[in-house]
Amino acid sequence: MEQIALKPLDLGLVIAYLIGVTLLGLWLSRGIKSSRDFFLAGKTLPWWAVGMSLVVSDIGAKDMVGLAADGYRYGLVMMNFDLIGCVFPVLVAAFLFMPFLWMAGVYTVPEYLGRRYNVGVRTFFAVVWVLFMVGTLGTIFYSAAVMFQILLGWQFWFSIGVTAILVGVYTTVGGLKAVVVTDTLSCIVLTFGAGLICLLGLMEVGGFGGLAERVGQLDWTEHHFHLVLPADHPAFPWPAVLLGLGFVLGPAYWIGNQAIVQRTLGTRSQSQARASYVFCALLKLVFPLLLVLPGLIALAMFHNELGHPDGWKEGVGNHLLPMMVVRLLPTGVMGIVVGAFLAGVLSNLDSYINSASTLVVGDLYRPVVPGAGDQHYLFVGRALVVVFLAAGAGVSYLIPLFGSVYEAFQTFMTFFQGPLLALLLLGMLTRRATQWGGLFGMFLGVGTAAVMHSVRFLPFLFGERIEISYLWVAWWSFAAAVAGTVAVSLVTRPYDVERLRGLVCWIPLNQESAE
Amino acid sequence: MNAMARGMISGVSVLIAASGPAAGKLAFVGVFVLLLIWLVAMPGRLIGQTDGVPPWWRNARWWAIAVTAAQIAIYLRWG
Repeated sequence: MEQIALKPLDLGLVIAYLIGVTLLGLWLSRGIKSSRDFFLAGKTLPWWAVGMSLVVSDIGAKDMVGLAADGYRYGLVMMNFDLIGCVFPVLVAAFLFMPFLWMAGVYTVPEYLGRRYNVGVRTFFAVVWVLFMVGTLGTIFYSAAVMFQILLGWQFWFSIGVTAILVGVYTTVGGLKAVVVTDTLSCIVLTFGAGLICLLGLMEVGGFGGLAERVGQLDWTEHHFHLVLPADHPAFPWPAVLLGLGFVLGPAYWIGNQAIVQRTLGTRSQSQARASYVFCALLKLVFPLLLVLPGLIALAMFHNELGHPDGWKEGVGNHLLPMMVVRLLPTGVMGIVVGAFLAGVLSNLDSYINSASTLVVGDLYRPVVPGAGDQHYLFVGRALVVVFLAAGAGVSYLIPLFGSVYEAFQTFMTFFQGPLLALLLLGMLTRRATQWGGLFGMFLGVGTAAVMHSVRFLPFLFGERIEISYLWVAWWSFAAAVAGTVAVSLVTRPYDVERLRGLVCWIPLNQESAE
Repeated sequence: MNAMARGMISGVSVLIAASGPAAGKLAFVGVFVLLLIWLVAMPGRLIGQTDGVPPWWRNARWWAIAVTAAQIAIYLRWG
């Protein structure tokens, strides 16, 4: 397998980019005087920067390397993760939920749930999200280290050390503002780099026509240029994609994920919060193509060498992108493209670090240590950035030792995303959802997910193992949480209207002070 | 329990598979058509447009409609 041997010019560009990003983050730390500046950038962020930051926060090393391999294996269907799984929920959220969350003046999503339901719901989801974020940070570090190893030949711990120091420096001192501004730069560089690979790759295979012709000649690619696959497809049956991804996992991610929502809460006004989401949706029309198309181009270029993915040894898929970089890009350009990949990794990492810190301070520390003074919370927030960097690096060490850790964290999250979305939707859209209804719905949804996973992982309980797509688990746990919340809410007493003012879409605050 | 779980998981798929290969494309396009109708028909007061409509290049609703229309075209072509 090929490894990128960077020429001095390319290496210089990569190093210059990394140093530039760090210095930019440090420069932006000048205005950080309070915890509000640190966690919400003082609510001064422009919509276009937040829109670009939302896009790159969603793209990690695993996506960049993994989507090329998935594009090779499955084709355009992988674009659904952005098209139906992102654009659809983002547009709904832009007009219904985000301006409303901004108006509610919260720092975190669990904080909203606490105000709308009760402190039990808030604490439960805060703990779940913090655990998930530590796991996610571990997988981001690990994926980044694997990518650096493939691209640059760096050793595992050297990669993690460099990444942690760079991100740690500007995230610790610069807070959300540094995160969003460096993300904006990353978005531009990443678009350029991925676009260049697609452009040169298409020229190599004879344009879109040549690509379709070459891929179409293979006998296992009949669905490679279709976004919607048959209902009995083993991996991506369209009903599960539409219901599980489009109606549950996508909305839960774009409405309930603190790492995503937090930057929108840092915009200047309700209308800017809305505009940032619409801009993100616009960019997301293009980005899935930039990430999946290289896989299809690789299929056209390298099928004679690599063959069908079922015959691959472990890790072969991770080398598709480096193969394209090595064979397509000239000196100088290669450095920019590798810099683009690094930019994506840094953006993904800094977003989760900053949000994990915000969650702990806002939902777990501040309620236990109230009235400690703003500078105290600012200090704790900064200290937690270092703690989460260390925790993420530690978890990344476990992943190669226990190969299923990454899958375990993903499975862990499917227990909670359906119920989280159910509580958010019912809480925001109806005044009738009660605190006890929410609590019961949450446990019923999590319980349903647990039963469905036990059917999958504990066959001795049920006589045989049944393969269940995680998309179906998400859908049915969401449905159960909705049913449970509605049923118990109907027989318990709701909060009065004044208690719900500003927490339910249809009951606005008395004095509109947002714009 | 086993039968119930199996029914929950596969029941919807079996029903929809029986409705033919175009059902999936129609379902995806239908979702975006509904979104388009909602975006067009949404009252201006819900999005702070009580004092008149801004020009199209500054109007988030206009851009959202354009993105949704593009999505419909994408799923019609490649669905």
